[in-house]
Amino acid sequence: MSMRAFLVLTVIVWTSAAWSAHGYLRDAPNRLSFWVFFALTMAGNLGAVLAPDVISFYVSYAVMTFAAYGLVVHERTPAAFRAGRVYVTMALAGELLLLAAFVLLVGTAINLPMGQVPAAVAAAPRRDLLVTLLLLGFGIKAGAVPLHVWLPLAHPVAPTPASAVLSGAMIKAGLFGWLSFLPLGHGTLGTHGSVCVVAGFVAVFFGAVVGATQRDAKTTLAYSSISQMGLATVAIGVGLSSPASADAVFSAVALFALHHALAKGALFLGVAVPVGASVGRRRIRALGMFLAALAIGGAPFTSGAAAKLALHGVVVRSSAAPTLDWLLSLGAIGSTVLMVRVLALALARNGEAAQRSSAMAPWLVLVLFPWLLIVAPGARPLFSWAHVWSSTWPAAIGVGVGLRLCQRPPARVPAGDVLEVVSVAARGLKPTLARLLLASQAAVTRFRTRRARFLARWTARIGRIDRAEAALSSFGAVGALALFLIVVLLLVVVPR
Amino acid sequence: MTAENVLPVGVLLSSLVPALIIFLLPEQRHGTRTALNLFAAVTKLVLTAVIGWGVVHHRRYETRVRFLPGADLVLHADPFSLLFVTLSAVLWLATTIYAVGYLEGSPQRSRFFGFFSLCVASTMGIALAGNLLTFFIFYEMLTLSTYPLVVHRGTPESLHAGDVYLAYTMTGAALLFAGTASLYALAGSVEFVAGGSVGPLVAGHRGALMLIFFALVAGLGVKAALFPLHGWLPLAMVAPAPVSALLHAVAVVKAGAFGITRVVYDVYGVRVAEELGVMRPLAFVAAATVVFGSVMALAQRDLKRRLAYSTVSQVSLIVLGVAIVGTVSTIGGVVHLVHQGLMKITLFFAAGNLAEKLHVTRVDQMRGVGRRMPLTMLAFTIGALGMIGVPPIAGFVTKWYLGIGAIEAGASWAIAILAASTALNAAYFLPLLRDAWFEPAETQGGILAEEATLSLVLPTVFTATLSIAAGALAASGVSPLAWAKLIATREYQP
Amino acid sequence: MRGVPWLELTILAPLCGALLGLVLQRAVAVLALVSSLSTAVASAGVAVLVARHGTIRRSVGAWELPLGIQLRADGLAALVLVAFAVVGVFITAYAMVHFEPGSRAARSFFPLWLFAWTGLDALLLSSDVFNLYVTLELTTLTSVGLVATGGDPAALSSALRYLLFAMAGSLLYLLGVALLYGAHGVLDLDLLGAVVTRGPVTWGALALITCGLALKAPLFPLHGWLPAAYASAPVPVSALLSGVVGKCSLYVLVRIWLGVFGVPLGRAPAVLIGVLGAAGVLWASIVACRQQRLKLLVAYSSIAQLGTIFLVFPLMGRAAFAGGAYLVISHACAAAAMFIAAGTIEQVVGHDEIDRLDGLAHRLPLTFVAFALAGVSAMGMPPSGGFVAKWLLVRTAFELHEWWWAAVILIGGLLSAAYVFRVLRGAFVPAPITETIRRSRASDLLALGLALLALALGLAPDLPLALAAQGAPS
Repeated sequence: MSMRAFLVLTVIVWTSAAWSAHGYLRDAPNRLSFWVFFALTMAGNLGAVLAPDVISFYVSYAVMTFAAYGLVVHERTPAAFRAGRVYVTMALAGELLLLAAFVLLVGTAINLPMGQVPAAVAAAPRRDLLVTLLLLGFGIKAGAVPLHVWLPLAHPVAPTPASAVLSGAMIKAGLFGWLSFLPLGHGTLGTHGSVCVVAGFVAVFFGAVVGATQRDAKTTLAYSSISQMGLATVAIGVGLSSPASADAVFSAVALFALHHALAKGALFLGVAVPVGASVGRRRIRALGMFLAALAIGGAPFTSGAAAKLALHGVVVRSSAAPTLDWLLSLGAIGSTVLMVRVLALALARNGEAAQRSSAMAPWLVLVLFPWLLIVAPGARPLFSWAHVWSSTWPAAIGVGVGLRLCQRPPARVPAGDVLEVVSVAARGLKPTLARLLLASQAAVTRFRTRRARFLARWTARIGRIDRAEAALSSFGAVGALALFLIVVLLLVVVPR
Repeated sequence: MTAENVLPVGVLLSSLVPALIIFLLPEQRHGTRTALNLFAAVTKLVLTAVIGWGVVHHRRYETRVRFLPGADLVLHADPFSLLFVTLSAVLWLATTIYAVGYLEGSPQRSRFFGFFSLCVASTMGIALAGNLLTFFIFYEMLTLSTYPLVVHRGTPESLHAGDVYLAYTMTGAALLFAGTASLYALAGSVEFVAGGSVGPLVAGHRGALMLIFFALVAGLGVKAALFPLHGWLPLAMVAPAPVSALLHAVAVVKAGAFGITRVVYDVYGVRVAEELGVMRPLAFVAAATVVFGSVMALAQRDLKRRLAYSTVSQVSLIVLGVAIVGTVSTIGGVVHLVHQGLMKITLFFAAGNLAEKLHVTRVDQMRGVGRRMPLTMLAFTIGALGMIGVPPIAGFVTKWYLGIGAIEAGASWAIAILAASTALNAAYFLPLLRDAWFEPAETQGGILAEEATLSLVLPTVFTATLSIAAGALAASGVSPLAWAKLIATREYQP
Repeated sequence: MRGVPWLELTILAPLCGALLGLVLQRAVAVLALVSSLSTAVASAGVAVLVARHGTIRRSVGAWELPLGIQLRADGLAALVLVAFAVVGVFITAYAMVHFEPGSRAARSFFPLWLFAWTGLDALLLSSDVFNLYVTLELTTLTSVGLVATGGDPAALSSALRYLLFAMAGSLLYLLGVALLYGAHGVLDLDLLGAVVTRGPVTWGALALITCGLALKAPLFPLHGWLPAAYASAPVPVSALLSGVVGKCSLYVLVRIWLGVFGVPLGRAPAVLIGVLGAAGVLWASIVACRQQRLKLLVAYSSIAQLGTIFLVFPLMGRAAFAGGAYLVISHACAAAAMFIAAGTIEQVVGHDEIDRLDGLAHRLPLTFVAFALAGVSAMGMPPSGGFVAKWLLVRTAFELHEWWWAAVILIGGLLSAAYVFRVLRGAFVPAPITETIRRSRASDLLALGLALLALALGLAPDLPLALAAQGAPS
């Protein structure tokens, strides 16, 4: 059942985004290219979620991953191309990790139905390696730290409807992969679990801190996604460490994915809602964004709160429960800060240029749908005072910090954070690399010259054969050789 | 003289006879020549289909002619020969149509098409050879019929490329001759038998058999472009595009890989070869070539040269699959014979179209080409993505099976090689695709206005479609994968 | 069939032709053609007879051994007889086209050639050492005359050199024969073979005979006279000498070794000859690669091929023997074709310089095709007779675990590929279309026919090999 949630979120987000994109790109050049890649990515995403076996999953997943490139670079600006380069490189790395993992997994069976996968992973002879590969491979897609560097570059630079699906649906495919392939409930993987938990929380705080420094709404939203994905990573980590919590993990992560997909999708699409029109529209937009932001921030009575509740239910079963609980709450502060920043940035700028309009209807769907979760059964605890308090106080602190930051914005950390560090280091390497290249080219040239000289020398030596040949036609030479031959024949034939 | 005796020779004759006729045709009789070419190609396909159907139903097709004392000439159709024959027949038809369009207005077309058909006839002979001597004879005839194709243009570069080609292939021929003759001296007669026939000799002649194996592989490795015997291939790119397509996808390079596979499976037998300890070195050489070819491809600025080095890399995947001992890696290696052929010929067709129509020969000239020649570039994209291993194109199927095979055989290091190959392929193909599709270009006229002529575009799109079909429909009963599985289970019990 | 004196006819037909040709000078060409065709028919008859009944012996004049002369035709003799006859017909036809009818050259060529043929056939059928000497002399002297028919100073001087070397060789041979006769009193090969034992006489005879024949064959390093002679002689003469007549001395050497010296003297001298042959292959091939003139290139190619045939000695065995025989007949066709092609080129453009042949293929397509096909046989590539021979020799080398002979043959093949393709690569250079010269296609077709024959030998080797196997050593 929990896996159905992924199908639901995929369908809703993609449909809303498509509807929105129709207006958004009405007069844009290259819109054929956009739709082609949009359709391919959607097909891949849906296929991945619906895949019955490993090979179909991989095929759909790969189509989705590679087609998304077209969405990332759609605007054809230098920033878009750079983001695309980073994206493809990391995506390719992810594909390779997954390919290695899948090949290890299926073995001579060639293919495996999805249902049998977790048990097969648990039973695999190289289980630990397999789980590592799966964690890393899907982690890249899900934006886990430190594999996240493509996300803050790619999500903002794509056209807004595409950003919505990238952040909304596609990174959830990574989560889906984790849930489908990891052996949750089939054994204990303590080390992997702990690493995941740590990495998850690092992502939560890192995303919040770096995201708070951004000056652009979409980049902040991207970092928010990273931060939120960190929470899901924590849940996965707990699930790996304690198999008993597997069921809780499944439902928690699925619910979380659903909530985040819809809310984040709403926030992204909200950035593109036209505001050049009436005041009324502007007000509705502001309200909608506010509601979605509330949801992400985990304010009481929102779908975010429901998700937090579910996560709490997971964390409780782990061994370090109290610490993790505290960290979750602290993380909520970070989420709220980011949401305040997003609202400030998005609403202040009057949206985007007037011609980039998109319909309100799909966006409204995204905004309102999560609230349906409130009325679902099992949401009772949401309305308990303890829970309301536990979700209010982080939000309050967060709002305070966020407003403060809006007045005195901190220095901007460039999007792609870690990547920037790596790039600087790589740039430092450039002269060394250039020198290496020159040296190797020089070596090749040296080798070629030496070979040519060697050949020339030997050709000249062999050329002396002409003179010898001429000498062989003289009478003296022939006579001497003939006599010599007789002598040698005699020598050879006479026994000792 | 039953049908079973005549059909293998018939396949051979279906291109040999037209070759001889074409040589005698006056240069101006273009229509007759084209008609003859097409008729021959279709006939060959029909005969191949008949034999294929028969082989599936366990019929024996063999032509045996007394040649020398102790050595007959044998043409024999087993599933593996059929794989190669079918690939060659289908691709020959496509290449013929392509060549007719490409060489429109060129001089010396009679000579070209004559040697073209001879080349295919030799390839058929190689595919259908039933023993090592017959194989060798047709292998050498292939060298003789491809040289005039390489030097067709007669420019100094072509002649130089031809010289290098000869230097390499003749040396390889000498090694192959030595290996074949010594094996015959040792074993009496070397028929191609599933599981190999050399097994009983291992006891007394280990060293000799190892040496012979390396001689055979070296001789075959020249055509298969194994490092460091690959030097002729990038130079041979000066030949017209149909020649490059033929050489790389169908005839020469495949013949080398096919030969190595035959030697490992049907002469030595994979168990015997493993016991002799020759499979490890072969696997390492193949792996080194995979990486080397891709690294060199990265450094190339000329499009066809980049594709040439890509071939060097990809064909060694076939040899790698063969050298890793296991049923699954066998399937991977054998099926890559077909897949690489389909994808590579698509790439070369597309490159030829680009050169012909837009005079694009270097990788930095590919900006915006996707807009100007969409069909060609679509085919190129499919081929390129297939090389990288993106599903559902055929190359992915190969990588999947090779990966599983590597693990099954305990050669997990090969997965690193596969990963490196994928990454490098991406590094030198993806920027081309990016430039072609995402850079702006000024187009004149409508969407297909600058596209190549029908006879150039049709084969390109056709082979691209086959590349996708081979991958997407791999699970069906009529795919190359199914055939490879048939070969692996029926012929090889490793 | 049995009653017809085929053996005698093969000797008489060319002889009559020669004699008549001396008399009826105006019709000499036609006479030569008729005579050659008759000889070919007679040779075919011999071959059929041998194929059916094995070795045939005929005593001339009903005088029995050891006094009389016996003609003997075994498989090898029959095969070579037929092959040489066929090639001879082709060359005669070419000579008819090449020489101006009624010219002095024509009037001297045909009778000389027919006399040489007589000697050749008689040599092939001889079975005693002195008869071999006589026929060898006849062949050699007529060959010298043939070389001289060119008439120019170069031809004359090379003919003179040839004469001196050949005479020296013949004298050495005669000395050896005299030694043998003096010691044993018999001349017949079989009888000698029965009586010969180890001893200074035999050793001396071996050394003298071998050296003498080595001068004439020629065997490296005594080959100095050949290139000049072949290059300066008229084209039909070159074709004849390299393909047909030039093989006589080699044949005699093989006969004497097999019949007389083979068993008692062990393998060492055979290995020595093999080494010299191998050296000849490598030396001549390298020199051929460096030649500027086409006819010289073909001449050195012939020396290299001869060197390969000498490798039969150390590899002696049924397969190697068959290989050597096959090489003899394939090379006869191929060398003749190559010389005719070279001659045609020289006739059309006035020179035979290899570096200036670019683009000529468009004016002379058939000529280059003939050269290419003949080259395929020269390189030992399939499908050709040269390949079959190479295969048999190489395989035998490996069977005897003496891989170095195989290495020499294969390297020789590589080098021959180098010089053959050096000639052919120029054929692909595009050239401006100049006027087509009106000339007869006959020479091209003849060259092509010979080249195709060399190829055909590669397609159905079992028949000729079966013939050669009659009476061959095991």
